[in-house]
Amino acid sequence: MKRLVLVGLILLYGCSSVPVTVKFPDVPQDMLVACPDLKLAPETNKLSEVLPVIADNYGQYYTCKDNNDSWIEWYNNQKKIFDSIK
Amino acid sequence: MFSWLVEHIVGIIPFWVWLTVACTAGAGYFFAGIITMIPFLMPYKEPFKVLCVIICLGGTFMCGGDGVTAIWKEQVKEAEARVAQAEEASKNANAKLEEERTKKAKVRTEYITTVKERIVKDTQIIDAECKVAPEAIKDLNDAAINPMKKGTVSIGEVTK
Repeated sequence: MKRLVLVGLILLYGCSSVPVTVKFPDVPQDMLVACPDLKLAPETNKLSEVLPVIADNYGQYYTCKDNNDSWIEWYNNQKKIFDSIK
Repeated sequence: MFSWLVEHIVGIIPFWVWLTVACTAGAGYFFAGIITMIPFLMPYKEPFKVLCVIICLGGTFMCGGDGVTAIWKEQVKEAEARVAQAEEASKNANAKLEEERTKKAKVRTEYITTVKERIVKDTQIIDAECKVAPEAIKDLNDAAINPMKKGTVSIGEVTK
């Protein structure tokens, strides 16, 4: 019986998979930064003091938009590369 | 452990060894009659033949196994080459993306700086005829607050 098991194991050895692993691709570190909260305007009646905050917030939006777009581009590129391996 | 045994002990035995074993056993089977002509070996004729058949089959099996292993090794080598190529392509794509992002960030910073400089320059014109009501600031700040963040939502009722 033991010999039969051994013979079975020898025959099943051929069923092992190819020992090649694909490493999960790295993402640029600056893309891993979360979007900060929007800045709040100061308690003032002067529009000139409020506008820079609004401008900063608009700038922040475009930074986050670019980050989001980069993630989409990164994913599409990496998926294309990954699919090409198969 | 078993894989290790097969890979490192059986795996290092070259193909020609298995071929020699199979051929020798095959020849042994056919020449069993001659060998067993020696009187004291006569009773061992049949067991010798059986042994030869078993060894021949084993040798043939290992010959085939060695061929299959060679094919697998070749496929593994090809797969590794493809993976290395993909990793290189992945790195290049990341480098290109980072370069683009750096350029965009620079343009954005310069643009916002220019706008803010213009606000500073136009301060007197902006403030000359415009006074911001405290309610406007409150509403603006309420709009800037993330409602999903815990403990930040405290908006009063809208009045007409």
